[in-house]
Amino acid sequence: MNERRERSVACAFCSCCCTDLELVYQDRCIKSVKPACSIAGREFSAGESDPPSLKRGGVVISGQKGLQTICAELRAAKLPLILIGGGISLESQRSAVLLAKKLGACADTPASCQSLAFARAFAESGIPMLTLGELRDRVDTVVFWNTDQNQIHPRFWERFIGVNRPPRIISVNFEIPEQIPDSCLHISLDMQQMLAHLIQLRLVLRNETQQVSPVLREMLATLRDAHCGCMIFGESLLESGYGVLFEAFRFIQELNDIDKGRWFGLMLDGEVNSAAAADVLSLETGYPAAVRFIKDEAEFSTTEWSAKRLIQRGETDLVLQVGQIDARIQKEIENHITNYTGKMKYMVLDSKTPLIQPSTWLPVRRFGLDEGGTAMRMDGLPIPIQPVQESRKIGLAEALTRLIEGVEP
Amino acid sequence: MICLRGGKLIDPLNHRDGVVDDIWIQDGRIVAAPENVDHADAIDASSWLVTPGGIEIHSHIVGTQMATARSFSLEENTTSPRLLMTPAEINRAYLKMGYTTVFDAAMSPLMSRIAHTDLDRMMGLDRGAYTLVSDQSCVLKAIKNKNSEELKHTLAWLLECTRGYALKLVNPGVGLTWRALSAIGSLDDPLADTQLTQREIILALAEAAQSMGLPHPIHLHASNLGQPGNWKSFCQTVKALEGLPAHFCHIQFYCYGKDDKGRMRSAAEEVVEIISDNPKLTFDAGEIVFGPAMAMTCDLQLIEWLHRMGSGKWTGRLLEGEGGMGLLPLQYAKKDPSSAVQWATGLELLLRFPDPERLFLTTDYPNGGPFTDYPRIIAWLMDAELRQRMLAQVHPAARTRCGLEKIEREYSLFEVVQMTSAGPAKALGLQDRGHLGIGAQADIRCYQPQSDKEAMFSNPVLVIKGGDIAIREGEYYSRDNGRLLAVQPAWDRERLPAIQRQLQESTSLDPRFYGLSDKHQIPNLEIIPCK
Ligand code: SF4
Repeated sequence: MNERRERSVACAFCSCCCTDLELVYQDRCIKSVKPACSIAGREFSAGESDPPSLKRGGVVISGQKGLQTICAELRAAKLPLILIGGGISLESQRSAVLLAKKLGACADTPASCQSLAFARAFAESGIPMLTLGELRDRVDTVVFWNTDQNQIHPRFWERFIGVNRPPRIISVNFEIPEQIPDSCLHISLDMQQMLAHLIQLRLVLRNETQQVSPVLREMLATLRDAHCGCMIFGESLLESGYGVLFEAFRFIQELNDIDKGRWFGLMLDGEVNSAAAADVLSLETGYPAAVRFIKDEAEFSTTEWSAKRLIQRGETDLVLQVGQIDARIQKEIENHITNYTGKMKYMVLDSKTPLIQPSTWLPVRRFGLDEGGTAMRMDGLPIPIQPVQESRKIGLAEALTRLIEGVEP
Repeated sequence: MICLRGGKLIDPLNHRDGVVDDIWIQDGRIVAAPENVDHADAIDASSWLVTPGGIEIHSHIVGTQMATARSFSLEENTTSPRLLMTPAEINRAYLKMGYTTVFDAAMSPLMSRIAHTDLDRMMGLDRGAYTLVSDQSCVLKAIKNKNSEELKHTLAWLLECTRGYALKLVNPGVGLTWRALSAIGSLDDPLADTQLTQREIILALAEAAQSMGLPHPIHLHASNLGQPGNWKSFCQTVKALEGLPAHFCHIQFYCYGKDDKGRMRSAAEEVVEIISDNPKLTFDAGEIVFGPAMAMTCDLQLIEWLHRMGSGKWTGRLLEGEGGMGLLPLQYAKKDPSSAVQWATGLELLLRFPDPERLFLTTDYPNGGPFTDYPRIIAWLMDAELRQRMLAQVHPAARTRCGLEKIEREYSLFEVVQMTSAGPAKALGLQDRGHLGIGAQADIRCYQPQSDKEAMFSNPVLVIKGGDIAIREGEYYSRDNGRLLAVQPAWDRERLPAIQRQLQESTSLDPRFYGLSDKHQIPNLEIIPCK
């Protein structure tokens, strides 16, 4: 038996995008991965299997036939919607935008699922950010806001926190993993009251009130003592809406303005390239979500062209999902399919089995396993990903290129 | 074969100012008139001015900072014309203005893959990017070791792994000092972490660029940008170069004195006196135009200063192993005294400086405003009366604190072409661009003469890029024949493991993922040779 090792392999199975993996192959199959985290261990050893059939009907199609079917449906659709999700390469996301452009279709990204809350808060407040190497080497105080990084980013702690010297840790609303030192300040805050807590913290910081709970007072004292701090926001905080995000970002800005230390923010993205979809759409059109192409020009309107609205109002007759999308949009699709069966076609181009029943699913290669491209690390660093195994399935990038050619009038 | 027949040639590098002649084009180049022609597409240029294509020497057009800036201006940027364009829009806007070669002013090595993704969307243009080196950890280590060979090899590696065109310095050491909660004071203050001084960094890099034979010398953003009274420190930096070649960017932002009440005034006259004598130095203006703009820079000290001066929201990103970048929206208003002084200072500088082949037109896009306003600035330079009319509309500080009002000089067409084409080509070491001689790349813009110079320069009747028609009467023809311009100085590959070991100390990436990976394909790459 032939054993072969591949070093410095990059992983695209979460947005930490580790670049230090070693894969051991036996013949052409991946036998083991080091240092293995729970996700990488599972994903790299998945191998190539035949796609499972959909649980509740729908059609699984493959290769040339599948492309022809999707192409014909796209051509026939009156107002198709291309939903650009995560878990796929930046290149595939770009091709999905170009497909929408070619079709004169609508295109949307996960950003609109949260009503652009993050985008709006960011645009109104701004926030200083940093790359993970800076977090590792420079930051002396870290606040984890509603993060569960051990579940979704298993090696985050080991790689980026306290590698050289342990920082002070404040954890807000999450289970303390074993690695966290005893000195960590753990705070539980009612999520419903998060907006009020943040406003309170800002008022105390600006010396406009002294009325604050002892725990928030202690937290603030620790923050004000930092030379270099970073607040890490988990997905549940990111989903809590514009108000909370805006207050959180302003809080960071005011810590910088009022105190002598430097404070930064970092968003923990779950699925790789999920947040990057908005950047890719913006790169091509100038807008992060909710666009419709009319004569090659992109028109932006969250009220007219967001996926949620188009689906709710039944204005789109075909949704093509490329990659993995937000659970809330999945829900909208499901509702629509239940209520208006037959009116809207729902087609999926992805490596994973769709959570709800599409009319057509074309399984494609898995980004990071048998498909390469660029991954965006959670701090915005682009990481080139090489395929690590062969596959008989069609690659997503290739499928999209063929669709773009195929829908040409 | 194409023949542009009987145009009036404005071609400074070949000393032709209004000479009527034909231009023959074959295989993307300008060729001698053939003796026998089987077939040529003749274009009647007899009523046109025929000039070489424009060359942009300093504009922030690609990279993570552009993507972040677009998100940062979500609402403002939805109105047309937008300040922060997409790469495809930038491509088209430059070509429509007759510009055929553009350079991005600052590419982070760590993020170079993003920059190249954007550059790949500008296929109608020849394009390149300057690699940021002045806070890069391996570079500073080599300077600290006083090992000029190590430095040259490190720089060559960086240029190669980022496919950069030149070495960009931004307020050298500012990333380190800003992180360490301090600020850069003078050229000779020891900087945080390394204890190097700015003078040492600038001199080491200027010498390295010269001895590597790079076609463009160091491209330098000096310290104290935007601050009243900064003209003195700027002139000290100029002198610190001790006769070495360099390009200083957006120097309007360094031409500020203080009047007797401590208010910002133009010091263009003082600066021009110091800088005009040194033929090895070139400059670009960084003129401002009234309207929205965006401070986009790696100079975090500047962003923080602007923010503390009350300019509002900002964002930025610290980059491991190098500096960082920051963004802050700006608004230049006619009735705001500082904006008025800045506007008048830029024009004064351009009008006082005697040699348009050494001082070029830029707005440091998007810092001073959109590059699409170049035609308006050209019109002000060519028409003293138009300037006076504009002066009457802006805050009186533009008259009382600047010398613009008394300047009568008007640029000629010849000088405009020197400033926008011939000069930048020479400064960038692009020998086959910026002129219409035999062998030159056929990058050409033609104008229908008009008294309204803004309209004339906004709408060339014909733009030819690499021998193909790119714009004809305002219509854009996508040819995608542009090239990525890069340099490739030789370096000792045996040193790579040592460089990678150093890199590992300051970054969280496996070094093989730094810059562009070996497998990154660049379409239409053109290596410009080192001297
Ligand atoms: S932490 Fe994420 S990127 Fe790193 S190995 Fe695990 S799944 Fe891959």
